[in-house]
Amino acid sequence: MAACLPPTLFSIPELVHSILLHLPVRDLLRVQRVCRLWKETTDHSLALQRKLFFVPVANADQEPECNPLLREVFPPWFPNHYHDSSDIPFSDDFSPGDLCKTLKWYTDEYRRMRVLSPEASWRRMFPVQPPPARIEEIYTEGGCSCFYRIAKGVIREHFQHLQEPGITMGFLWDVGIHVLEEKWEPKTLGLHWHMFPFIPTEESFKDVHFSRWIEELGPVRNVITMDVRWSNDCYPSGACPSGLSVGYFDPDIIKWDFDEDGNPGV
Amino acid sequence: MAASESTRITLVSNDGAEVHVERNVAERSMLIKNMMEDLGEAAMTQSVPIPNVNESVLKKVIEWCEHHKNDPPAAADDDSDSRKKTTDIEEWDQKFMQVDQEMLFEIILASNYLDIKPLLDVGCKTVANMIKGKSPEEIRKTFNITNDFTPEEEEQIRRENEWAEDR
Repeated sequence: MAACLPPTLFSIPELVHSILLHLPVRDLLRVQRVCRLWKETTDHSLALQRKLFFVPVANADQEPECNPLLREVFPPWFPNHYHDSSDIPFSDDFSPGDLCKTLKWYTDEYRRMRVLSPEASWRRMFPVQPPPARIEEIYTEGGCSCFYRIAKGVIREHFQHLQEPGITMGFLWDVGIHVLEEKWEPKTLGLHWHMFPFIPTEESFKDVHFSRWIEELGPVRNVITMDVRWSNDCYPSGACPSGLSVGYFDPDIIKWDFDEDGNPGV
Repeated sequence: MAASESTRITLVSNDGAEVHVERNVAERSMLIKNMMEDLGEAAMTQSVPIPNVNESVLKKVIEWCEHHKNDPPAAADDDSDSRKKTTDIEEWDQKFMQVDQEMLFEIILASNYLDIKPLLDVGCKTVANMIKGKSPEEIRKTFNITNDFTPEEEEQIRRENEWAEDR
């Protein structure tokens, strides 16, 4: 019976810490509600904060590790084949419609509300440890039969602090959803993770799109590139998702190189 | 000392029981090892008091040390790389830990006091396995823990973390 248990084990912070260190991320988040000691032990432990992807790991040169929980909850945002034999450092390009289908929680109203809460702790988590240093470039490309445009965007210097001390999932999400929902017509979004070594397969070499990116990728660096491809022809209009953004996103955060007409420059 | 005949020492539990054990087995405990070094020759003739551990727990801990006496010394402290921690427990240790909760907790407390890190690790992993997949309510009930949050505080933590729950 519970009554005859020694009261000491769970009152020694050091032992609570040793036990919590053995829990997977999802359980660790859940047990925060057990009691104050468990919550405070987690909040004040560097090892646990790192395990939860809230604080960067000490060794910035270690091999990058994806956040397993975020990978499960937000699969389209993660390098798709990282754990397969062909380590392709891209997330799949996904369209707004695909995005909603891939996010399992999207159709569950209660859970969607929890996930898209501004307070949700995933927003503070790094998608990868050590965390990506920055979103290096946001690249858009697309057109229709009569025009074709390429534009590049960067995070304005004024907002650099949003990338400190590394890219959080919340920031990555906000930028991605903002770009997807912006004025250019239906599009797909993909992320290029320069931090993972690229081991091309024979098939990827045959693919013109991939080959070009292999050239542009260069060496492994601790950055992410966002890639938005759009077309007015390929998708029915109105495919943009709504309700995926979390609060207000200041469009000034991204600086685009527009041409004179206010369109993305060539 | 001769290899064929290892030195035996006598430990005394907090309930006064004498437990005889090979010195190299007892020295899986860093506390005892350090005490032996401090006592020198006297340790061979004197009994060593273990004031925080009772006989049944002490015997159980010695049983573990006996089985693991030939383990290679633990690798350098890898707490910094907590990601690599798993809750895999080798089969013998799993069976060893199939005791009631009170004994399990006593073993953990004793291994903490006696400074036997690998045993402490196995104990903590066993408790972690009992926690996995349980709701906060179930955990409190299982371990007799009082919920000392206000309803508002608990709701705040729920708001922050419930996104992760795959219902």
